[in-house]
Amino acid sequence: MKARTIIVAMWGIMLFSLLAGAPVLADEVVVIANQSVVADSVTQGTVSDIYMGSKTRWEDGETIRVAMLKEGRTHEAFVQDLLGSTPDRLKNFWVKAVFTGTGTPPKVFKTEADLVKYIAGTRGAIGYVASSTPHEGAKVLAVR
Amino acid sequence: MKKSMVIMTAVLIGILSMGNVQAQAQGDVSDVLDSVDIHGFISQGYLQSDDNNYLANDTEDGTFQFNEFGINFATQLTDELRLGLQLFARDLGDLGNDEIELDWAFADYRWRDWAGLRVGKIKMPVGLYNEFRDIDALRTSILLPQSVYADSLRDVYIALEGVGIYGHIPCDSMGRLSYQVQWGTSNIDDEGGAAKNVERMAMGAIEAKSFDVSDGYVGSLQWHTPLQGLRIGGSLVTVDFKVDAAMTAALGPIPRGTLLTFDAEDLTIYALSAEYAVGDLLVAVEYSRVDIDIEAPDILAGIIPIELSKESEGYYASASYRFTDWFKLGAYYSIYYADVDDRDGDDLEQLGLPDHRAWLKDLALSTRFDINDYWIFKLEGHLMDGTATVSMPENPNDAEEDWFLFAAKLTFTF
Repeated sequence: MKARTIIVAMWGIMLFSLLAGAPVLADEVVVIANQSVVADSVTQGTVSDIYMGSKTRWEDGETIRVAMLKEGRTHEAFVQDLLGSTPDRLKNFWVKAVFTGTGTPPKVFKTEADLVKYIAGTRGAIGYVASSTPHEGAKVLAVR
Repeated sequence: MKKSMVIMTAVLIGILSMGNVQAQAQGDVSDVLDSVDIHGFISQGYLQSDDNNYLANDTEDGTFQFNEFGINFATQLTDELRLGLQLFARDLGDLGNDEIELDWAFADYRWRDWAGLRVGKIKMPVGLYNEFRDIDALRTSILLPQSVYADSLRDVYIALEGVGIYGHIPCDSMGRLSYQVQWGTSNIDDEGGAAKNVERMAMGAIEAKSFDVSDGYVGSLQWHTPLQGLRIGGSLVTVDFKVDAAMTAALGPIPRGTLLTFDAEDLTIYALSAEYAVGDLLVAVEYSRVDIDIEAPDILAGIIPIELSKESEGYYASASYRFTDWFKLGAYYSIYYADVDDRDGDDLEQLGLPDHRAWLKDLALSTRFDINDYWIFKLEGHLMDGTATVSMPENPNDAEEDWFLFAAKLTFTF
């Protein structure tokens, strides 16, 4: 009986380890915005409020246009480090908004280059990229 | 139903015409749909129980009468104004029968982040999950805990036709508050779960024919605490309605089939909720209470000793863990008491009924497999103790106290 319990427990631990997978290494992520955005810095709480739909305007009244990446390490690092959430929960939040009619989801990009292009050309836009990704035309917002 | 059609038509015309105006303004005359977002879902489930037909008529033999379909259209007209609607159909045994209904349809004017206005048919924010209870993709389990999200009361508090205000109030270091207040009326299906509930309360002496809802109020407050991932909330619904019902048998001088009107004032539902998300773990606890007080017409006074006032309660604790992109495991333990004054079923026994009709305790284990971004497959088992929400007419040979329910579901979302 004891041996069976130990074997079952070992199988459980092995299965858990396999399913849990390896931890994701976080890249350094910078928050970027369109040049029209007056602010030079934002708090982490503000970034979270923007991406969770509870803040839709900058302090000067300009509408915030939210952009995000579809997936990838930069996206995972941003969501985990700055939003304190997971990509899965962020996606679920916006699926809820879509199916209850309570919000318009962020614009989603497959590549960081496309996201930078959108930010540079859209008033009030905010997004994020890896620090190594060229982001000319967009301003970097310091996160306090 | 007529009112729903008016709301749907108005919103649909608004979406298409304003979408057209917006498209023209952007120089893209040819394709109105470019400015209209379209999303939807379709799911097919299977239910089988070893004893007791539950939710659907013939789960003891296994049934596929368990599906949902929804499609929505929405457009952001201006930075402040958004229009949208969702059509929805479901089949759950006798409920729904895949008839398409207007799920929600409203204009949303977000004047400020702390104050917005919604007009039309709006989902009611009861508990943590009522607004999106039909969206399978948003949870690990197939069935929400029935102690708090009873399908038998779904049509009473799924949506309100009226107006609502809402907002988010930042509280600096104390986190954030989100509120919603709604006022309006609702459609209660005369063949839906609420009708069955009223008939069950009257021990089958009446058959509900129609509901007339006069006023409904909803309030919801959620505190997103400074502890990241922790939210605590409370919600309250009150609904006044009348039920026209026919006597199913002659009682004293009242012949069978006589149409009588029963008043239900202040049907009250409240829920207290807490949810904590940390990493890939999500835990939630909720408590809900439903107070219903139905006044029988004077003509029945002294004829029938039917008690039509009841307070039921339910609560549950749940946990879900996401192991990988494609696999989640969840469990909950849910307890429901049909009458808080008779939790052990003594009163029912005195009426010659089994005591286990007083409660339903449900231990559920769920697995969810995300096949890709669109397809989800789930398997779920429920170890049940009690029969409080097991329908009597569907189990004519007495329901069993201890039983098991198996559920499977495949969902496509886009």
